[in-house]
Amino acid sequence: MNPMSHLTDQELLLAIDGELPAHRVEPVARHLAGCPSCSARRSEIERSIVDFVRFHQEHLDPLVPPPAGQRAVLKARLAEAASTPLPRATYWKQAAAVPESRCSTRAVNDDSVSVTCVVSPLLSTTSFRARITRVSNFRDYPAK
Amino acid sequence: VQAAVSITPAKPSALEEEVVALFDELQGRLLRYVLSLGLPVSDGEEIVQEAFLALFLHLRGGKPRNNLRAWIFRVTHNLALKQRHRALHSQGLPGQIHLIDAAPNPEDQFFRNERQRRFFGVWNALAEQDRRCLSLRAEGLTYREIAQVFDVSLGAVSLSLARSLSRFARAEHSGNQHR
Repeated sequence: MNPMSHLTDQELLLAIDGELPAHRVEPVARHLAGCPSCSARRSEIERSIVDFVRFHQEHLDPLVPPPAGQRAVLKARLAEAASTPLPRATYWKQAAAVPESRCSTRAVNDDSVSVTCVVSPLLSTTSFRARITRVSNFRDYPAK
Repeated sequence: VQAAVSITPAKPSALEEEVVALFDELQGRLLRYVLSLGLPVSDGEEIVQEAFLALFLHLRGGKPRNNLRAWIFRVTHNLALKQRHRALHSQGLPGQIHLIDAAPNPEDQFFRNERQRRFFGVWNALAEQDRRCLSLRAEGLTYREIAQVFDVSLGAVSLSLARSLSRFARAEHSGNQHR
């Protein structure tokens, strides 16, 4: 950057919001430290942000009703949606997304472990066994 | 090697609780954003409900969870634009935010109203996309999140915000000189 050229409004705003690319942080800070004009513009933009946020909230907050009623409506709608079965393709996706961390293992003896996983209740047991066989060599499973 | 497998049914309530927790965090901000687009409260509440229901189905379907805040704002934004389009074609919308003043005394109220008039002047003169960016900035979204909501570049977001805020700064500066 030419040390004599002033910062643009965009650069000043990025500096204020902490959104400057890493390689620009230092040059911009150095310029601001030695340039009263850019420093003053930075302060003006900062004030504008504060003023605008206040303006935005003061004029919209009185229109926003308390959320309790809407929260209750959402909970009821979610409960209803949760009781609706998923399309079959989605079960597979969901079961495939079960991370190992959601499986718990317990040593039964030296050669076997018991594995408990959280899976969709509608996934057939056969499909689940097939998946377990494919993804794990149980000897590698850390027994707890 | 033998393995004993027991299957425990998934708990849908955990996901429901997660969505309700996000609702608690974001509902007010989403509703303010919808209102800033000129929609009435009743429409805004319904749009926010729909957006969270869509979020629930999105997560339940095992879809990506990265940056859910930007995701929910984008869905809300799209639903709000659709609703606004429908409303404009059926009964028309005011498109303006009501001016409500809580200034403590007449002198303060005078200057406050002057200031608010200047702010409204600038606000109304801004391009629609600039207003939307500014509203999301006021709701605390990062530039990256705003870019994701509108599907534009980071540069476009910062340029839009700088343009709008410079106009507010100039209006304030000239207002102070006239005082």
